Formats: sequence, C-alpha cells, structure tokens
Amino acid sequence: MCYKKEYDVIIIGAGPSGVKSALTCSKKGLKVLIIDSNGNSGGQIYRAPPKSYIKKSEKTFEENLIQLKFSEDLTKNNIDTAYNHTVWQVSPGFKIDAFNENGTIQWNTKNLIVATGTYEKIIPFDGWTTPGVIGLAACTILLKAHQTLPGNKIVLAGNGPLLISVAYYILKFGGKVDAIVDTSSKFEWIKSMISLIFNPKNFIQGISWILKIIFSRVPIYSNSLINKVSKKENGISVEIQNIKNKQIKKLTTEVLAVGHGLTPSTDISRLLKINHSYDDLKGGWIPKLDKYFKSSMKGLYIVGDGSGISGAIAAEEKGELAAYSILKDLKLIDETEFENNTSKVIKKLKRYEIFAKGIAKLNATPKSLIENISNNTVICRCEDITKKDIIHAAENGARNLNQIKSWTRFGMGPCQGRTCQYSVAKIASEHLRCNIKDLGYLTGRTPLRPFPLDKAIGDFEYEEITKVEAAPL
Amino acid sequence: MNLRIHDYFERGKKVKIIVNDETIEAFEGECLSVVLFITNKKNLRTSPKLKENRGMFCMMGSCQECVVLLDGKKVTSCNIFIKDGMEIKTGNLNVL
Amino acid sequence: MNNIDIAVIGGGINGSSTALHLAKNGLKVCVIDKDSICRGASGVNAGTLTMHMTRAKLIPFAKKGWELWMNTEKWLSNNIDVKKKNGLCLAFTEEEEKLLNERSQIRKEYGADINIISKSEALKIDPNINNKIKCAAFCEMDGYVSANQTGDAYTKALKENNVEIVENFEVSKINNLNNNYEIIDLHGGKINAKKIVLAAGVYLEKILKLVDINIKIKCFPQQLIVTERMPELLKTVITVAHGKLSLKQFENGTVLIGGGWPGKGNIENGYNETIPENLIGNMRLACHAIPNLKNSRVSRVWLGLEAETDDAMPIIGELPNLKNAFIIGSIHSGYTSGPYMGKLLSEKILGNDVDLSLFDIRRLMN
Repeated sequence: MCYKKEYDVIIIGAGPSGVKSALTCSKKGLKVLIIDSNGNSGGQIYRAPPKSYIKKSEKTFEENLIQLKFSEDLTKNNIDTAYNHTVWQVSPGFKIDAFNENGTIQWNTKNLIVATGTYEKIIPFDGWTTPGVIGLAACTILLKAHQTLPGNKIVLAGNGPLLISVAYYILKFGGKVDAIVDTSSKFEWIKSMISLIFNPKNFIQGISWILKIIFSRVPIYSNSLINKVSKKENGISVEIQNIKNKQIKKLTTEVLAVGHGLTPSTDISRLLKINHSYDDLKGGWIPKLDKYFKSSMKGLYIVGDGSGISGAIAAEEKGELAAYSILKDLKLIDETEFENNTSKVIKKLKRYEIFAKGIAKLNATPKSLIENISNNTVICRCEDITKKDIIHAAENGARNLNQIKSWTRFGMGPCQGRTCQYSVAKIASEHLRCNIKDLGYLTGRTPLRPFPLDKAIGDFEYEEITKVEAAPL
Repeated sequence: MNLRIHDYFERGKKVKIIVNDETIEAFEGECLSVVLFITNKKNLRTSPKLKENRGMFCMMGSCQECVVLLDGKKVTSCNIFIKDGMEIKTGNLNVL
Repeated sequence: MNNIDIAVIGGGINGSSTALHLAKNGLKVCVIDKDSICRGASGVNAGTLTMHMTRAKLIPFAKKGWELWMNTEKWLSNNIDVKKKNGLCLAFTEEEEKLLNERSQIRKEYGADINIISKSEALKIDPNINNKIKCAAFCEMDGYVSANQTGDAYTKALKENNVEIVENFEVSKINNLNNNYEIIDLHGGKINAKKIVLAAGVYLEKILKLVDINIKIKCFPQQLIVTERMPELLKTVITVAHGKLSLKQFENGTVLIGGGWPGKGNIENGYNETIPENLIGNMRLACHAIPNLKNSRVSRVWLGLEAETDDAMPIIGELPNLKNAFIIGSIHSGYTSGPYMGKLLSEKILGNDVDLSLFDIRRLMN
C-alpha cells in the first residue's frame, strides 16, 4: 500500500474499538489510517487467522464472522490500513514511527486514537516460567486464531470469564481439559451473575458454555490456586492448592494455561506523559480521560480496554465516542448532532460498564495469590529478578517502582515491565505496607517494542550522520 | 492426537523448516511459535541469569519470551509465519 | 532534624560524593533531593569513564576520579558494576584523523596517556570495530560504571556513614540567618544547617537564584539507547574523534549507545521526549563503528539532563558574598571526575588548602 504522510486521524490498534472509531470518522470524510502489528483487523479478541488459512465455506464461529465484517467495512470505507507495522515511538504533535519487515516509516496526524488494548495479568508462582505454562489469553489465540489445541491435556487456571470461554473452545475443538482451577468461589460466580443481567446475550452464552463444561465432567477446583509447577519427562506436574484449607492436589498434564484478568496497555499514554490514576477494578493504572475518552493532551484519545478494562462489548462504544468528539472539534458535526449521537452511546456504555464491573470482581487479585509467591520465584522474566530481589531493594530504601527498577533491573529487559509491573507493585506495596498508588508506575519509554537495529538504520552514507558539532575540547 | 483443527480452515501447503538442525514439517503460513509448541519444541530461549529454559507465553508480541534466532537475528516467534526452508535456532541465544 | 553541620542540596554523584567524604571526616551531614539519590542525570547517564571525551583541562581531575571509580569498594560499595576497559577513539575520515591527532595531543599534554595507533593495531585490540577506520587513539585508562546502580550504592554508603537522606524535598527557599541556613521546601518543610552545598545539577540556576546569584546553566537533554543482551560485540569502550558517540558493552551483555544526541526536555515540569531522527543518527553512527551491532534489537531509550556553564567548565568552590556556602556542578563529561571533585570540595570545606581557582563561579558572574 502507498501511504500518505499525513492523516486527519490515525488509530493505533485495529481491535473493535479502533475499527469502530475509524469507521465513524471516515463516514464524515476524514482521511483515516489504522495501524496494527497483526496481519489483519480484529485485535486480540477477534484475532484473524494467519493469511495462509483459507476458510471452508460451510462452518464458522462467531468471532471469525465479526473479524470478517471488520475487514469488509474497513475496505468499503477506503480506510488505509497499515498491518504488520509495529509502532516504536509516538511523539506529541503527533508523529508516529513504525517499522515493518522492510524498514521504518513515519506518519503525522493532529488526532491520534490509541486503541492498543490490554495485556494479560498473570500473577507469578513457583515454576510459572516453565515452558508449557502459557497465558489463558495465549491459549484463546492458539485456539481461535491459529486453530490449534495447545496440547492433548490441558489444565486451566486463574480467574474470570476467560476460564470458561477457553474451556468451552477446547472442548468444542475436541480437546481435553484436565482441570479448571479457579481462585474465585462458586458463590462469587453467582454474585457476579447478577450483573450479567445487564447483558442478556452474554448471559445466555455463558450459561450454555458452563453447561457444556459440566456435562464434559471437567473437574473444577474453586477457591484454589496453582502452588507449583515443575517439568516432568512428558509434560508438567501441577500442584493445586485450596486457598481455604491449604489441601494440595497434584496432577500431571501437558500444558497449563493461566490468567488473572487483564491490565490496560498504557505504554503510549505513559510515553506521552499524560496523567494516570489507579483503579484495580479497571485493571490497574489507567489514563485520565473525559467521558469522550479525550486525554489532557490536545487531539489524543485513548479508547478500548486501554482506557480501563470493560471488555470487548464496551470497546466499540468507546471508539465511537472518541470519533464523535473529533468530528465535533473539526466542526464536521454540530453540537446537536454530537449530543444526539453521544447520549445514546453513553447510555449503552453505562449499561455495559455495570456488566464489566461484575466481571472485574471475579478478576480482582486475591491477596492469597500474592502471599503465595515464594522468595525465589522469578517475577521479572526478562531479567530473572526474584521476589527476594524486589524486597531487598525495598528494604534498602527504594520507595517507588522506578527506583526499584533502577536498583534491581526489573523492567529493564525487552518487555519493559509489561509482564511483571503489576506483580512487582503488588509485592512491594504488600511489603512496604503502602498504597499501591504511592509506588507510581514505570516511566514510559521508547521503543514500544524491541526495535531491530538493522531496520532502524536502513541504508545510509557516513557523511550524512556526521554533520554534528564536535564536543568542546 | 492431531492438535491442528481442520474443521474451519484449509491450511497452506506442507513445507519443511529446520529447527536446530532437525527438519520438521509444517504448513506454510502457520505461526512459528505455535508450530514449535505443538511439535514439543517448547524450550525457546535461555534466561540470562538462572539459565532456565523459557518458551512461548503471551502470544501477543508483548512478553518477548518466545524469541528465537531466524537467519541469525532475534525475532519473537509469535509473529513469524512459516516459510519453506526457514532455519531456526533456539536455546542460549546469547552464545552464538 | 537538629545540629546539621552541612546540608547538601542535590543527591547526584557530585552532592553525594561531597556528603560522603564530609561524613567520613566526622561531620553531621544531610543530603536533600527533590526526587531521590542519583535519580537525575547521575542515575541515567552512559557511565563512560574515559579520557577521550574529557575536556583537556579536566584531565588531571578525571584521572583521579577514574582511580576512585576503579576502587569503589574502598569508599563507596562493593556491589556496583565498574569495569576497566581499554578505550579506543576512532577516526573514519582524513578530517577526523586530523581532529583526533590534535585533540589527543592536547589531552596528552594535560596528562592523559593517549597514543595514536594504526588501523591494524586498533583491529588487533578490538576486532569488532569497522575496518574502514583510518586510525584510532588508544588509552588504557577507560571503562564504565553502570549508572543505574549508583542510587542503590550511594544510598547504602550514605546511610552507613550516618548521613541523613531527605528525599522528595524540593527546595523553594534558602534563608541566610546568622551563622545558619534555613532550607525550606514547597510544602513548608524546614531543615537548618550551618553550611550548605549546592549540587543541584541542571537545577543549579534555579537554586542559585534563591541566594541571589544569577548565572546561566544550560540544560542538554541527551538520549541514551540500550540494546538487549548480546554475545560479545566489543571488547573496548568506543568513542569517536568528534565526540558524538560512546559505546560500551556491559557485563550483562547489553550495549549502551550514547554520545549526547539531543532529545527534548523541559526542566520546569520534568517533561522529556526523544527525537526519533536523532535516535536513528546515533544508532547509525554506532552501527558504523561496530557493524555487527546491527544484528541486535534496541530494548530501551531514555533521556538524561546534562548541565553546562557558558564556558563548559565546572563550578566548584565557595560562593562569593556568602559565608559557609559552597557549590559543585556542571562538570562537562563529569561522570569520570565526579567522585574526585566531591572529595576536593569536601577538603576545601574542611579547611584544607585546595586549589579550585579554575572552577571559581565568579568568572561566570556579571
């Protein structure tokens, strides 16, 4: 594709929120570019299968249909798409720097919508770094996007609705679930079901999934966590512990998929240094936004789960509100049209958020998960930093996350703390007996993803780079 | 049991890739980290201090645990798609 | 907090080193920082300990500082990554060759043991460098310190020597009472001390205003680039003739690319931002020097604020027209000499005969 240098609106992330805002903006004639590191639209939730997969006409499933609709709508509306492009830097104003297989590219825009979604929150435990232990979200992607079962036998652990959905898809695709290990109690599930009434469609779907799991006689361990995993010759050994009575059950399986909910991707909002606030029920640190998802930086919007976890169903509404706000600022819709359009969407979003809050309660991190981490457990996987190292820094006087990072090297590896920041903050706040908010968050740093130097430098002449003033002697 | 589900999609043609001098079969265009995972090549990189094996973890290009060497360069295998004859190295990527 | 002999404002390596030496001489010292110990430029800079980038006149001081860095276990901490390496300064064009010869000669006159070596000699010392070089300057007195570890190391050392550490204390007022200074922060916190040392890095201009001294301190936001862990890519610390590159591989395998390519920064609100074009320029220069570097991935980029006076020379010593007030800062390429400069100032404060005339602030006033 031949890209323009400048767009009216640029959207980073082609999930449901990004796609909806792109469509809404382009319908009023704005020139829109949507960028994604994946090869297609859909985000993680409706992630498209690899390009080489050809659909058999007769059978399908819902997520795939939604993704196909996204693709079709984006094409129909002449929206430029930059797939397989990884954004490595965003500068105010806005300049967006990205790279792909061939090299680097920079785009400019006055209106930037960040729709970069979430990461999975996975609280460490003994042996969580063992190959064969993967994220629950990773498991979903394997199943739905790559049409692959992760193993012949699988244990699912963690909490929240993803446990049910992953179990359902494994069974649907003919796989075997050895156990579901849930930190929540059955009572907590029933309580959260009440909020599901605000979203009848998902309620009915949820019930049918649970029934399938029950009929398949999958053992469910409620109120339980994974205490330990170790490598075995033909798989992994998993130790399940009941949180209340501490009883332990051991079993051998091939794959453990574990997840404790989602945390917003704030890489870009932290990099642009807008203010953030802490809300555990929304997944942790979230950018400060108005009700149209506009940040304090002119032209910057953050939508989807990156603005606080409320799930795929609320994502489109968030994207739509941001788009209307841009259209109003650019005087492409008047005040009345803006009010009419947004009031309906806000109402819908409010209903979804009640539902999301119910779900979020199931994903709240129980204290027992943090307490259960042993001193020698690796927390920062990139740099092999253990719980002991973090506590040691706190004991020596480190009082915020950036200081702990500097003293221990946690978060200095290639993932920049995305995988462990949440857990490190939980561990440090527990140890220092301080509010997690007081520890702050890691300063946003570029590159947003590891940046291959050969792509960065491209072809150049030595003379081009040395037009620099010599340092004083 | 075949872990690949063939009910909804046709995959690309069968190709061969080389993983640490061993040839394995896969379908063109499949995701590299998935192929390695289900062919029981789960150990992808070695961790820097403890020298532990690490493998595919997040599948979203975030965690960087699934790095392998492709043509001598570090790549996250979760966003690499199989091409015929690809040469992959796993293990201690810091000692080339 | 009572009976403080000396309050040091600014807990970077200049301030912390001064405080540490004073405390070791029995004084009751407190270090005040708006953030925390070595969280500013001192904690984030490239940590190059070299003569090749040092201003000629500062060579004698840098040599003493280098010795201190190489022996941190004796005065600071036994747990900080400091390494001695050979230093190579490269020239790629005839023009650079000329520049390198001139500059190395002058540095040599000031006492640096720098020698120009041929291309083949340079490649023998470090086979990883680009074989397109014309020649190189060699110096054994080179190396690095992992700057991120200084916060931990200095905090520990200061505590062990009973220095009071006051963090998150942003000084907004300094009252000069009789034989006593009253230091007040934004939230009304108050610290009394008999003597003060101003060591506030890029914030010195602002702090000096509090004692009615007006001089210009320039602030250079500089970008730093680090790669992920790599197998051995270089054996030496690399610099280039015009001084716009520093390159080193730490013990853990990561390669740090520096050289003072500017980003944007605002010292008022602490905002900073990288300039992508300058990052790419810096990366290109690094990959030109060490071609195999291009097989690595950049894992992080950050900025540090470097302070510089109008003549790019340090200010160290007594403040004029004020009793018992001292200053230390703006040491160009100051990481190498920092600990020694702190030691020197502490000796001055203790009443020893130290010649700091080169760094007198009065040259910059009016």
